[in-house]
Amino acid sequence: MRREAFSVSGAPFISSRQTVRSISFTIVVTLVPVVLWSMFLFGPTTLAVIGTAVASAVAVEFAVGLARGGSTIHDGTAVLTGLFVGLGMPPGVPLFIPALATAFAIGIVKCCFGGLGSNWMNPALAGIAFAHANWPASMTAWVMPRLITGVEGISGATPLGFVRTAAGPGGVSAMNALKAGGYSGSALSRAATGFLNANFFDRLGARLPDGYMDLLLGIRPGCIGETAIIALLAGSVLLLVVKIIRWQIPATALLVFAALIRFFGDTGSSPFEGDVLFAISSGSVVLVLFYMATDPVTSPVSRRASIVYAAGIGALMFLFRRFGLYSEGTAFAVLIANCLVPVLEEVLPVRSRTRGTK
Amino acid sequence: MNTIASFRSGGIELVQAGEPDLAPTKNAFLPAIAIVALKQHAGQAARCIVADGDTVKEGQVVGRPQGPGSSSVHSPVPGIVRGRATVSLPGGERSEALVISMEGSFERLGRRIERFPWRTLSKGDLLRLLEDKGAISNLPEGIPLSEKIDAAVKTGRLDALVLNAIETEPWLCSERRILADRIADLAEGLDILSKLLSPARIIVAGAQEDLRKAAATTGSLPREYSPVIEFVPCAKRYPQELPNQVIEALFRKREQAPRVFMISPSTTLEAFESVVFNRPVIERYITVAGESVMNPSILKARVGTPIGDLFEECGGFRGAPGTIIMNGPLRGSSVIDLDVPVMKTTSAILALAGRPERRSRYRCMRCGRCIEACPESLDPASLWKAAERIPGNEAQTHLADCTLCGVCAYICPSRLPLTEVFAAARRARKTGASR
Repeated sequence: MRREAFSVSGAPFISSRQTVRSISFTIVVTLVPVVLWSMFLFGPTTLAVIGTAVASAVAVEFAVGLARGGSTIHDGTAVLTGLFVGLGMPPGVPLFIPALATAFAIGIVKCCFGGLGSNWMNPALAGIAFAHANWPASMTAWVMPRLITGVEGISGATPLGFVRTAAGPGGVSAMNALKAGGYSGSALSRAATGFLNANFFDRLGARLPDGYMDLLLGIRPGCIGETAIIALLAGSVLLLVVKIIRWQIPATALLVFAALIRFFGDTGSSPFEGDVLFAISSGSVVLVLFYMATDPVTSPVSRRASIVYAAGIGALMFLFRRFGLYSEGTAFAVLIANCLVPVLEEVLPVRSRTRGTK
Repeated sequence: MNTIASFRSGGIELVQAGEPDLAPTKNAFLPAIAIVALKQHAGQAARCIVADGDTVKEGQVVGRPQGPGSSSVHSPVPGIVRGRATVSLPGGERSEALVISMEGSFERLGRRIERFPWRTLSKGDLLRLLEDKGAISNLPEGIPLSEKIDAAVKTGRLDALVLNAIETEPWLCSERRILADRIADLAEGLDILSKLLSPARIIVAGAQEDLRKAAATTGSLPREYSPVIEFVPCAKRYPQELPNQVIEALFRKREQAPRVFMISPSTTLEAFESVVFNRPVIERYITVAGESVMNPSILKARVGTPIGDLFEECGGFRGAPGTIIMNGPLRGSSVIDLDVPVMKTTSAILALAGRPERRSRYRCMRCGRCIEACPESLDPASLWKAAERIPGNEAQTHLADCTLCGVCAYICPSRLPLTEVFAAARRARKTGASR
């Protein structure tokens, strides 16, 4: 008789391709163009910031793993958190800030609450908020892209910050305020706008005003990861296609945010004149909504609850942007919504027959 | 035949792997040594009625049923009982088995088969035939067909007799093949069953392309021999073949669903052969497939044939296989070695290249995919957490609704052993209840 022993385990014997690890690394891969674009815009300093954050994240996760027994490095979520923190930093930030912000994110926010799956706040956003609270000056020291100034490290205001200070409360649209204030646009953007107008928008009888292309291409001061809107959107589409993120959260939040901006006005504009495209492309809205608000750990499992959660994020983003002290408060909007998730799950639980098992 | 019925929520699209479908059905070599397990059914092992050294004929009863859920066991080949062995059944249990070495003459093989004029038999006689010939229903696993029919008749009028020829697990195609090869016999089998059950309707559920062929063939059968059969094409979404999902697809509701008797083509064929050919269940259609099998095919193999023989007949392995599975990759069981014999509930043996993936590799990140995929609208993540927190008291009543289809564990990005934990909890509950 044959004596070949095979390993025996319970069914099922096949599984889907996606694992936590593959999901983490797919998200990292979709962000590579964003990182490369940021290097192109702001110079290699962005790589140093991101590298520091990732290294710090992995080191802290490793140390916690050693202390608790059982490493969790292999799931790739530490790398992802580090990357997110790095992307949320201004380009020229002193390197100790991303290092400490990530250590806080992983060590306190993630691991103290039980690690992956148990943390109730998005660690990366909490790390960024931590940095904002501790080093507000460094965290808002924006620099101009090399593409505009030709050299690295010239400081400049973000478009949103600029509009806030330049335009008072008056009936000026954000873009006009930018132009009136002498906010510099790039030649690349003017060329791209001209090309699009000539080849595409003209045929539709529309016209893309100058300046938006700068915002979409990220040729403006801002944090490392937020500016390359087009690269972020491309990555998001990929994640939607492979079903790593669900469209409901970003779509709902965008819709609510855009509607509120439209009806109640953006910074410096009057009601019903809010510039939605400017609002979405001038800050970190895209990065935060597609990459951070969709974090499965800190968003509701219940589909109904996640709609409310997303609407809340959109509304809070509007509030912080319109009335807040910071020019933008996307991170805080998501963090507050994160904290409300348990309540939302209680009120709008998962529709399943498994009720009352808690 | 144009609209495709399916179940409401959950389920997964699986890639249909391998093409044993293309090769015609072959008769497997008869086993030189057959290993006949005495427990091939849900209930207690059959009581052995032969002694070591006895000569047995092909199809002779070697084990008599003991109590409910137990069934007769027959010798698949003529030969001499050489002794006893212990075989590990798929799923981990062990059973005593008879080792029969083949010799002597075949009384059936190659002879002209007489058809038994069963229409004159009473219902009681028909049931007794099914019982004597050891027909086993594999929906659910391993209940003697006679018992299942008896229970259905006692509970009142049946709305439908459903021949469930759906197979959506990768590689599996024995049931589909039986539908393709033996539709005339299946029609007569359904006739026998409908005499016993008197259902209002007879429905065949299967994949659209399978049903097209089957419908064309049954259409040309002589009217008086074939009952009126409705064909309902069903989706290929896993787990469409499970009883709840079939009922949802056929009747679009589950609450106050019509009373249905569901049976697989292989069991229907057993009923047909038991009654019409007076032939016990000693042969099964076996899909031999998987990445590691050289020439995947569908074999008609005798019960008791060691599965290693069948793999050899299919050209052996392509590299060393990592996992050997009996039945489907989602609901089947892994076996420990190649000496495990074909059982009356076996419809496939698969050799997969990889070892089973180490489960519990990551922590649950609350992505909710299991909840979306669960065809029974359960919340596997919560059930699992409850099971982790209070072992032995898991998830209380809702675990009873779990059909162990494996969808949640398949989809889980954290690779949590969801189905395994639920199965263990179910076993614990059962033994706890019977104590």
